Amino acid sequence: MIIAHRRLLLQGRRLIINNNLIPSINTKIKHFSTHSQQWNSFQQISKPPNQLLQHFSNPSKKDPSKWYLIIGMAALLTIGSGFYFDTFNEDKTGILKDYKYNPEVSKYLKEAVWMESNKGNYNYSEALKYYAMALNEMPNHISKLSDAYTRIELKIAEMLERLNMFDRSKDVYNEILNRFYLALSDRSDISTKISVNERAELIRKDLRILIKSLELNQDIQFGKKNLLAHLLLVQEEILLKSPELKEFFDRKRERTSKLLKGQSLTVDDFQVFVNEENIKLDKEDNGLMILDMNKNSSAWEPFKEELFVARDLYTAYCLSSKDIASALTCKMTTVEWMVMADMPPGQILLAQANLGSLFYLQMEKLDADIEQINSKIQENPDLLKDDTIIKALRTLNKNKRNCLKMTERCYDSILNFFNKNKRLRYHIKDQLDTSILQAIALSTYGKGVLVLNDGLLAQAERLLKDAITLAKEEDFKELVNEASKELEQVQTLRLEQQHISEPQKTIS
Amino acid sequence: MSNNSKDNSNNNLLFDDGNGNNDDKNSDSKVFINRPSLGLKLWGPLVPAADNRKGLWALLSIQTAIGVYAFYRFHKLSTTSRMPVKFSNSSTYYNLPPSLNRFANPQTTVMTTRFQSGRYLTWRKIGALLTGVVLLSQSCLEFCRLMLLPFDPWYDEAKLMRDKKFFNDIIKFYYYKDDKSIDSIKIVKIVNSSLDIKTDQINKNGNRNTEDMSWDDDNDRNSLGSAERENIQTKTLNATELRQSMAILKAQKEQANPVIKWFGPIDYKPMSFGKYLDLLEYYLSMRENLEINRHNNIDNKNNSILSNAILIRPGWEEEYTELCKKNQNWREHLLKHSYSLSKVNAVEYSNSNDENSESSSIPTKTLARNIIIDPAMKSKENLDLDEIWTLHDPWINLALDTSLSIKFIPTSIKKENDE
Repeated sequence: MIIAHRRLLLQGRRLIINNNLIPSINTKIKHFSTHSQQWNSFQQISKPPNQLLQHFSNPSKKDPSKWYLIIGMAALLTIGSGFYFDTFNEDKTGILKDYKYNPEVSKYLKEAVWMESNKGNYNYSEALKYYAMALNEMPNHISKLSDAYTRIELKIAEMLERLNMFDRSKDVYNEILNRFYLALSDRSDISTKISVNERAELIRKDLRILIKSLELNQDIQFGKKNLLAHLLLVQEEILLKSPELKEFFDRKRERTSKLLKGQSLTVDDFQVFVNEENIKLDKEDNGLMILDMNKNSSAWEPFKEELFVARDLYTAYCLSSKDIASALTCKMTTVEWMVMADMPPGQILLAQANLGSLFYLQMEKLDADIEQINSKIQENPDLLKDDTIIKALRTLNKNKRNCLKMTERCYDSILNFFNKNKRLRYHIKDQLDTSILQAIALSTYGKGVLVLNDGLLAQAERLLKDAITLAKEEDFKELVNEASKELEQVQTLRLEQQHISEPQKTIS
Repeated sequence: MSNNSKDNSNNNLLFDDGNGNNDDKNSDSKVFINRPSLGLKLWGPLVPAADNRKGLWALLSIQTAIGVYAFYRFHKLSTTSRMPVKFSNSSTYYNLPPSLNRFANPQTTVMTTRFQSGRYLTWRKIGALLTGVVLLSQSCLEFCRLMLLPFDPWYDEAKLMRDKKFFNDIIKFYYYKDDKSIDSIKIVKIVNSSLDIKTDQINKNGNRNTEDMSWDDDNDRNSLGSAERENIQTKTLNATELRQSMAILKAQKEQANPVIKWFGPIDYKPMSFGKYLDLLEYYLSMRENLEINRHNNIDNKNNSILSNAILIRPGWEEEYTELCKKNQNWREHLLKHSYSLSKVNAVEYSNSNDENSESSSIPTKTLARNIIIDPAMKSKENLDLDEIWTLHDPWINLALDTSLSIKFIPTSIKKENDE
């Protein structure tokens, strides 16, 4: 803007110079034009003398000033309409705009804030009352989608939470959520209701509320349904702006049609996303992971963070309803989308590590299925003659192997990336983004578990110990706990092994 | 900071941003590409970034003004030209109209006639007309882009790049180590004072900017935003926090750099016009598709992706009105019987303790974010609501609450097998 100002100033100065010049030019023009006007006047005898006189007295001065006025008007008009466009038109519901509360409401709000703060001794119930009053006093013409309105509602919900009235606060959140959803899904009068910019912002807020309401929600089915509806809405919004996503869906459709035809997925179909291509390092070979400035992922803005948290929640919901397969596909899509949306590298790393864990879970499930069938076969050996069972066993085994491979690939990609990147390796404790460290700890641990399953105890022990030190660094308690458990197991196993091998030695 | 790499091949202008923040030495990123626009192309490298709306409008209005001025020149030339053309055709000085002015200098009139000779004048006229037409039509184009387009890929891109640059800068500055060791107390002082400045800035910039800044790219940065706020209050900083806030401050300073404010990040390449048109076309066709799908749900086979989202859950609206009523009633109830809250509270508290032991962790999380008012403040009337809303914006608090990081931890299967 400073440049713009300077430019305008320059323009102004030029105008001033012009004005200074004008008298001298004008005199010349006057001279010249007096001749011409007179010559003209000989021919234009029909003109009344008064008008002629007027024409003579100020013939050329009148024109420029009029034109300068017109020029000025044109400039002002464009600027004016521009600012109108930028401030008012973009902001029909006031989602992006600060609203000045009227004195009545602001009185209550001040009261409420005072009560809520250290001044009012954190008296939340009083604050809640004042917030409720403020909401009741809100004038009707204020859109209920606007910040002015929803902020107070959020405050009410927050107060309720602080008073441990979670059911009530859930209702408040749900009300906002439903309102947003209805506004967003109603595309028929999109041009009159919400502008495009507002839409993105509203979606972002909608997702935040969604996540919050799910945190308070206990009903898994209800939560899943809600999540799906909102996620589809967001998906649609991104699809509008991102041809990439459409390609993704086309590819996916192709893949599912392949599956329907009976071709099974091979390991090659699965891509790992943690590599130098997707995670950009800065040019000076410092190994700093940065965002790619040449990648346009604007379709995912500004709600991508919220979107991926919501998707992760969906994955978690799928897991808690024991639907590992859909959790897995959801997470796979999430990772791919994260790369498309150019999320911060730490997030991508973590997502990839999580995907590895999910593959592992799927593998476990397949393993359990195989065990079950095997035990049945043991009970009833005749089953072995059944072709379908043998076929099923074969595919299960194959899938299990595939899952294991993919788990390994997920973890390995992260560990390889970590090992290649010297900066990351030597300054691992000095990370701005904690999720990087978490991802590496998680995949080290995961790798340790894999190795343990293969029976390579020494390597497993080393990996698990590494994972523990990394996790401790980041205060990643869950992992520390799990890893210590595994480590204990490894150590007992090793002791057992030693016990087994020692007697052998004595014998030999 | 001058760059001597003369590898600008086609119309690319080497750009030096003047503030000494080009740290990368041998990179091709210094080739500055003109910012895109529909109708401001004549300004060349001066065109601002697509998200610099004010800059665009300023240039547009200047261009329009010049265009109108060109028309004015044309108008003036064509009105005054009638006479001079006539007398320039006359071969001799004596054929000039008789002058009443005794002091009229014949020499000057001869000069003028030469200058305003017919050919020269027509060229000037044509020139003025052309400039006017070109400038005004261009302005019209740009005006349409700014006003009418429902979706502007360039705008979105420029905005995104700004955010990305901010993120990258934070990372860069976080790891960038100064050789000069400044004693830490001094830094703390500087940071504290500049944090104050920053809060002032936040207040000035209004809620939206702060939201963009704190809730941009990274969970950790968000938590850092809140951490920062607390730091302002408690004035205590440790080493990593200090480095983080220093990095953010530096990145903000970089963002406030006038050159970058005008042009956006210097080293990004805006998409080509062809891509722009493609994206726009895609958007419009998709929107049309969507509209059609909404109107007749039968024809869903073509884009099954879109059709799913159209289904509003039946009864959604009823549910909403019900919830509205419920909450409204509850609020009225609360206001009427102010005493009942403590009772209700007690009952619900016990309930919630029994039922959701999981969610009992939530209040402790939010409790960390209490509003603290300066003890010097005496009366409620003096409270600055805007300031409070910007420092404790419920939407940002919600964003901080909802930035979860979900991790799945596998356990080895050998456990059951072996035991």
